[in-house]
Amino acid sequence: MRIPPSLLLGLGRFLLFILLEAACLYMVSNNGIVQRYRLIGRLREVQGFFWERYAAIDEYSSLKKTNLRLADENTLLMHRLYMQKENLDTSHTYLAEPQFSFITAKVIRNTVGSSHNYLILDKGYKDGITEDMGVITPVGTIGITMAVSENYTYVLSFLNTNQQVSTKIGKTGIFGPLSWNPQSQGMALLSEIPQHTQVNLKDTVYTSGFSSYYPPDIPVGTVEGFRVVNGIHLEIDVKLLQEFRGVSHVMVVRNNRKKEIDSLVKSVE
Amino acid sequence: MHGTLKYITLGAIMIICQILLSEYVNIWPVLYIAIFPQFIILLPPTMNRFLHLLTAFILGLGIDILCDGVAGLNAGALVAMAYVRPLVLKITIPKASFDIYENAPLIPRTLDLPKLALIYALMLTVFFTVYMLLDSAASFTFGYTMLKLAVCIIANSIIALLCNIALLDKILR
Repeated sequence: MRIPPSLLLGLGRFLLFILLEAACLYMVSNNGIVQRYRLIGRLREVQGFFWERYAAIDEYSSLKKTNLRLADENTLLMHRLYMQKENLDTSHTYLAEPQFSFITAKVIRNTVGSSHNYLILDKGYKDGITEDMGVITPVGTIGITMAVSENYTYVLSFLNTNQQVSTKIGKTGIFGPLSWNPQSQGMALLSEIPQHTQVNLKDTVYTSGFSSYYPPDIPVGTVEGFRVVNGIHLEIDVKLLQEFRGVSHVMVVRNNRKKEIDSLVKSVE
Repeated sequence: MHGTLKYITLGAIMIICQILLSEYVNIWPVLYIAIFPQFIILLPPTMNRFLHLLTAFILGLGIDILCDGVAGLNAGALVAMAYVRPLVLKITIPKASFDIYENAPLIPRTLDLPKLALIYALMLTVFFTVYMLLDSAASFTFGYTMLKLAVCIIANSIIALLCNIALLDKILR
């Protein structure tokens, strides 16, 4: 039987369509795969040159605001240091090396207006930053490093529809995933909280420390409201403490035991 | 200007405009302004369809990379839109219209505004539906996705029509 050429052409077009869609799906499910290519790294270097200069102008014009924020952050850090000191005095434990160490970096590029936001930091692998590191400020989680060049780092912002952070509610310690709510600025949704949990308005939400990206007990937001979903879980509206538009300096979190934890998990799997 | 060169220039202009839009125009996270699908819609209907699909893929991937989106999102949506274009055109315009304009863009002089609006709306519906499916596969919220879809289709159809009336029609003729 002779197959008509038009049918063959149609089949060929369909196969090409499936092939291209499969490639796209693969890239989407491996978010960041393209950014890891060296070519993109070079592109970032060029873009970074301009962004750095633009950030310098922007920084100068907002010095007053930055000073106020730094003063607030200092107060908070002093408070947390004091609290930790107290805890150490009572626990009698000594750790040879802390689990987390921090690399400070300046934000030279920050997008907040779309549903896929990102940041560029002015430090790269020569400063000890690698992929898959958490990025924080004293009042929130900022994102995860996705691609690193010599001098710059691409951070996938928390303001992404597919980003989640493991958090807990202050008093109860009950934990659940926190994700950005793109419908209202500065808000996030804490889900999968058991219905019986006692939640109060203005309760603080902290990082749980269950992921290897972020240290525990970083305040990220406060409870603004909650409701029961599907009759089982509570969904909590969380007002983020970190104003993403104004973030200028961040800390990249190095988990010194990440390798050990990952290899342990791998060995069990 | 030579036909192919005209389209390459138009494609480059659209990429630059899209980069500028992504960088400086962020009105609302729900609204995604995408002007580059117009390029794929307006390519000559007589163009080789394999080439049309590949052009859509390359343009989409370029936008994904240069506008710092998730790689594959725009490319996937654009390829789907390019694939259904012949079907949409078959429904909306009689086939005879294309044959008169060999290597001519989609907008024949005879195409009236309501018909063009319908083409843009249908094509952008396909584009944004695939875009949203790929984008929210991991975290699908029905209400939010539908709102985003509706806002994007309406806003972008209007923008496409305005662009067409103001610029594209004149450049491509």
